[in-house]
Amino acid sequence: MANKEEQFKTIVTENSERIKRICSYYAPDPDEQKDIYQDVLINIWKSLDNFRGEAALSTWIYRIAVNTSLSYMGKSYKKMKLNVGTDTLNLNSLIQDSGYEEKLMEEEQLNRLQIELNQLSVIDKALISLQLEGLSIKEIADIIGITEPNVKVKIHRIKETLRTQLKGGDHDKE
Amino acid sequence: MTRNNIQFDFNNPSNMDLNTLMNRMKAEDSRNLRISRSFQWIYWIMIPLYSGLLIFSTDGELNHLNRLSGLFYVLSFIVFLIIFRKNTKEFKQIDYSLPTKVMMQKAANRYQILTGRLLLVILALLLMDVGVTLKFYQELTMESGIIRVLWVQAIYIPVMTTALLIGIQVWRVKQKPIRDQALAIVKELEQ
Repeated sequence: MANKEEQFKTIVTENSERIKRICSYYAPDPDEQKDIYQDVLINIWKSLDNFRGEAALSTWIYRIAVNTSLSYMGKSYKKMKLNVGTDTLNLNSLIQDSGYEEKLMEEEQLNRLQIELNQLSVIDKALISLQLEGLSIKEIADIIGITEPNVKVKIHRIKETLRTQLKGGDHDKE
Repeated sequence: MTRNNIQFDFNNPSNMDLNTLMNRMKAEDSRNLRISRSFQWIYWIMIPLYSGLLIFSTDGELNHLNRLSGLFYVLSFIVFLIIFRKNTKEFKQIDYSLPTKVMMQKAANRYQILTGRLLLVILALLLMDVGVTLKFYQELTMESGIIRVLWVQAIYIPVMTTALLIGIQVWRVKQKPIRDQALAIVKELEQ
């Protein structure tokens, strides 16, 4: 048990920023972020006995963080928001347009992006949150449990939709 | 575990009281284990006790029908014990470190209503029904055996059906929406 406690403390200390970021993507409210964060820690504790090192520790942490965040929403999956801010990492990776990166710093553009992100489905939001973390397609596939080509297609589709919407196109929203 | 009882400094995780959280989690783990063991002990005590009192007792007042009734009670306890163990095992195995798709598939299966578990509940209730019927068959004073059986059924079936319907309604409100969402996510992932 002492070993488990040490392992748990090390994992949490080393990954707290990562977990915190995932929680902040899913909950705008600081109190909710804290609640999800705590649930993630509880689930890390519960899953620790099952960790065999088959997946990378970071993948394992992301799985728990994403699954806990999705489960936290319970029946309110569809109301789940994906929150980004000017300090969000890899924000430009969503648009893949160097010119647009600067525009994103403008409040209005960021608000538009925020609105468009919240039109996405739950899984698309999860994929985008992992993309914002700068994970590779393979890592995202390992976390979500689908094939790499499938992740690639889905992310490409999401980016296309975002790009079109933000440039004033009229793709159908879900 | 009530999350509000633990004070986190979310913006400064290094100050977070991890020790408090761990102590609470350990306490929660032990509490769950204790509850699970207590329930199992109740069955492990009740089953032999009822077997002794209702089936194998040397009490001369126990006739064959009483013993047979006791046997069905004991059988229904055994089935309830199996259901309890199955439930405990299933909920212990919830693993958030699985890939999202696998976790959602498992959640959808866990919250399915038409599973072996429901069949086991019905089996336990039927065994209990036979036990109750055999017991009251001797105690009721009506002349016709069929009337006595029907009399017991007229009370037992509505009571158990109501309990089952309440259970199904609870499932519809609490678990079905989660199952539907989990299935929707799996479907989306497979597209």
